[in-house]
Order: sequence, then C-alpha cells, then structure tokens
Amino acid sequence: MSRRLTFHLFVGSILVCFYAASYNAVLQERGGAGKSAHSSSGIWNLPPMALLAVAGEFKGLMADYLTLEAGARVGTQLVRTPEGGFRVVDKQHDWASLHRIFVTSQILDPSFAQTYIVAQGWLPWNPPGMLAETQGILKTAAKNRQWDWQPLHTLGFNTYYFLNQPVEAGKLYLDAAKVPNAPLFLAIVGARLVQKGGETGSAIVIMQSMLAVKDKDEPGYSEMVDRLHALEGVLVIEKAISKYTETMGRKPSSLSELTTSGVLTALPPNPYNLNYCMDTAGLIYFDKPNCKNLTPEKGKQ
Amino acid sequence: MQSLRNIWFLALATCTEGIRHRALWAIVCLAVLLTMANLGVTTLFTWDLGKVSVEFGLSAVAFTGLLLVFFLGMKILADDLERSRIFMLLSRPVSIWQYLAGKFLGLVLVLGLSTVILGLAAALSMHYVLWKYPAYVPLNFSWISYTMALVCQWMSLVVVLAVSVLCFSFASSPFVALLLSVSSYLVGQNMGLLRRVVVENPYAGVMTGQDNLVIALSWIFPNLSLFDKKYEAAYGLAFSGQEFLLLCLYGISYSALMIYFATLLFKRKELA
Repeated sequence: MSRRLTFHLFVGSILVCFYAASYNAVLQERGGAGKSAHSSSGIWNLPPMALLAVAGEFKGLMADYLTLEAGARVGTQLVRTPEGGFRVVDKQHDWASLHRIFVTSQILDPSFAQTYIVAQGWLPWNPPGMLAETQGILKTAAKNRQWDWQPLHTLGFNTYYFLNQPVEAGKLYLDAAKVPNAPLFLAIVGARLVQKGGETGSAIVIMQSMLAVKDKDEPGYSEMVDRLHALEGVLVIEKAISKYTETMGRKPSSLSELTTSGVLTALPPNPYNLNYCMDTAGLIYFDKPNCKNLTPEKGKQ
Repeated sequence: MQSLRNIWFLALATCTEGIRHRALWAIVCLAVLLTMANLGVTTLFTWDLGKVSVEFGLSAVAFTGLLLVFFLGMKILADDLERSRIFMLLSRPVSIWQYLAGKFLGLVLVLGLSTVILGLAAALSMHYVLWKYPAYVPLNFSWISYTMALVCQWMSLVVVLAVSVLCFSFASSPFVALLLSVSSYLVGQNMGLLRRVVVENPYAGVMTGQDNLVIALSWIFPNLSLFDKKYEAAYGLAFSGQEFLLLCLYGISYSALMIYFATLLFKRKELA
C-alpha cells in the first residue's frame, strides 16, 4: 500500500468519524428528554398576507402540507426503543402553535375538510380545552363549505356538549339540516334541542321553513311532517298550560287537568300514536309517555 | 403571408429544439413520477382526497411549466445570441418581430405539449383516486372544469413566457433576464393581493394612500392570480364559460402586447 493511499485513508477516516460524531450529537440533542416533539417555529408564524404572498399559486398544496404537519405533531405517542419495540411517551405539545397551524391552513385553503376535522379531534378536549378557538375554525369551514353539513353539525355538537346550550345547538343543527343532501336526523335532533330549550315555536318555524324547500318525494319528508305535527301539538299544550296557570294561579299537575278544567277540549293528536307527557319541570314530550318516571339527565361536563 | 410562414417555420424549429433539449423526456419521466406521487400523497390524507389529488395534479403542471419557462425558454433564447445563430436568421428575410414571435410561439407549443402530457398523467392518477375513494369526490366535480383549469394554467404560463421574452429583449445578460422574469412572476402572482391590501386596508404601511400607484402597477404587471383555478377545480365550484373566455382573451392580449414591446426593445439591443 503506497504512502499516499495510506494518507488518504487516514484523513478520510478521521473526517467520516468527525461527521458521524457531530451528526449523532445533533440528533441526540434534538431527541433529548423533555423536548417538544417539534419546533414551534415555522411558516405558520408569518402574518396572513405574507403567507398568502409566499404561497402564491400553491396555496392549496401548502395548506395540505400544514395539515399533515399538524397531524404528524399530534399523531402518535409511541416512540421506538433501541430494542426495536415501542414505548408510550407523554409528549409536550405546543397547542398554541398547533392552533396557529390550523388557522394558517385555513387562511390558505378555507374549504379544506381535513383542517377542521383534525382541529376538532384535538383542540376542544382537555388538554388543551381550546373550545372558542375550535369554534372559530369550524365557523370558517362552515362559511366556506356551503355544500357540507358537517362543520355546522360539529359546531352544534360542541355547543351542546361543552357549552350545554341546547337552543343554540339546536339552531345550528337545523342550519346544518338546510344544507342540500344533509341527513334527516339533523332536523329531528335540531328541533328536539330547540324544543328542549323551551323554544317550541322557533323549532316549528324552522321545521316549516325547511319543509317548504323540500320535495314531497324526498326520503324522510313524511318523518319531518310527523315531527312538525308533534311539535305543533306540544305548542298547543304549552299555550294551554300558560292559560291554565294564569287562570288557576298554579301549574297543572298532569295534562288531563287541561281537559277537565275546560282549557282544552281534547289533547292534540300525536302523530306517533303516543300520549303526550309533562315531566316534573313542566317540559312536554311527544315521544316519552312515561317521562315522569325517567331518571333526570346528568348535567354535561 | 410570407411573414406568417416565417413565424410558423421559426415556431416549429424552436419547438423541435425544445424537444431536442430532452426537456420532453424529462417531462414524460416527471409525468410518470407525478402519477405515482399523486397516488402516494393522496393516501396520506383522510378527508377530501379528491381535492388533494386535483390540487396536486394541477400544481405539478404549474411547477413544471414554470421550470420550462425560466430555464428551457430562457436557454433557447440565450443560445441564439451566444452561438450567434441569430445572425444567420436575421440575415435572411426574417424581421426581428417575426423572429421573436416565432420563438415565442415555438415555446408556447412546448408549453402546450408539456401541459397536455402532465395534465393527462394527473388526470389518470386523479381518475384512479376518485374511482377508489368515491365518497371523497368533490360534490360538483367535473372533468370539464378540470380541463378549463388546465387551459387557464397553460395560459398563465404563456403570459409568464411573454414577460420573460420582454425581459430578455432588454436585459444585459440571460441571468438578469431570468431574475427579472422570476420577480415579475412573483409580483404578478400577488398583484391582486397587493391591490386588495392597499385599496381596502387603511393600515398598509408605506403603501397606505398609494391606491393609484398600486392600481397603475396592477395594469402594468400581469394579474396571474386570475388564472389560478385550482381551487375551483378541486372543490367542483362554479366556473363560468364566460369567465374562461375572458381570461383567455386577457392572456392573449397581454402576451401580444408584451411581444410587441419586446420587438421594439430588441431592435435597440446590442446583439454583437
């Protein structure tokens, strides 16, 4: 072996060792304990206008990338062990940064479904409990996806589940039901929530407006008509209860008192062939004939 | 008639030269890669797969077209000067405007060819994605809208090419022309945004109150964001035929104006 070749081998080996050691040190430093999974800096920190300018005609692609980035950040809590297995780690997520990624993605492509769905999957729950921020993302999605009932449906769910506001939630469900090709259950759930919140009249008006734009041959039309008639029956009873209360100075203890006192000649017909029922709080049901015996619903967290 | 013949001859020669640069083979390879990448990238997502697929396909066409304009187009123009081939052409009965128009049309043909190949490849991969995941086909998606968006994309590239020819006609070197072209492209992409910011926003920094200047600039630079119809195609949104025709007219008229100015400036250029 010539002296020249030995020299090159020696120098090459030293350089390779130096490179391997330094690169390994960088990797060790990045993967150190207590570190966040990813850096919180990135293109999503740019002001919206600057971001739009940078993205140019590739806004949609950049939005796709950002949602993937967000998904990768929160996607797993499994880490490979040196033995080849996995262990669960409690990753420290920078939720504010994640929220910014979702918002940035929406600035670039306000209609992208993946953004609001992934945001809903993480942000409103604890941690981080960012409900208001999630609602903002969902509102943007609802505004820009007028063919999609799901953002409004999710907004309604959050309003009911987290905020415990049945009337507002019901109105959102009913808005979702107005979207073309929305499933029937949205109108029914929406009307139920609004009525449960004590606004039967509003529920009827919304149902009537929805029926006015639906085709009679459309699947589910007759079910909606039944629900409307049931709500109209509830409204008749609610008005009779108010009149009874004014006259007698107390609420009726049962619905039969309305007919025996002469306030109503007969209870309105129920399209579901069930008896109307009034619970202890005075709420009228058309589908729970034994409502007085039901266990009170637990409050939402 | 002779002038049209000269232009057509130059256009065909330029197109052939473009293909001989092996650009076409690179495009075909890219089309194959794009088809595979589209399938891979799309499956990384869980919702709106159709949107991702359409957007990816059209973005790939846009990106490749820009590479062709900035590198292949400028190289073909610069080669004529550097290899002194231009003197051979201009010594014949070919005027400068015929030379520039012929070169421009030849490059437009190369761009058209690449758009067709890439557009077909993207359509194939999209068709597969939409067939495999029918639940994620955008509600009013239509292949006509996709084709219209593709033509708009090509028209946008033609406008950028026309601006590049203009820059080439007065720049001192091909590199300077390339820089100016890229800058014009970036300005053109954001001209609509800048106009909106300055006209609608009272807190636009140094640009506040400069509405007239910005409006004047927006008439000088091409408004390339108008040609960007990826969003509409990806979500199956309404895209009228009238808007499409007006966009085509805008692209053609702007390009013709640029080539006219390029002819005027090229006459003053030091060729030797």
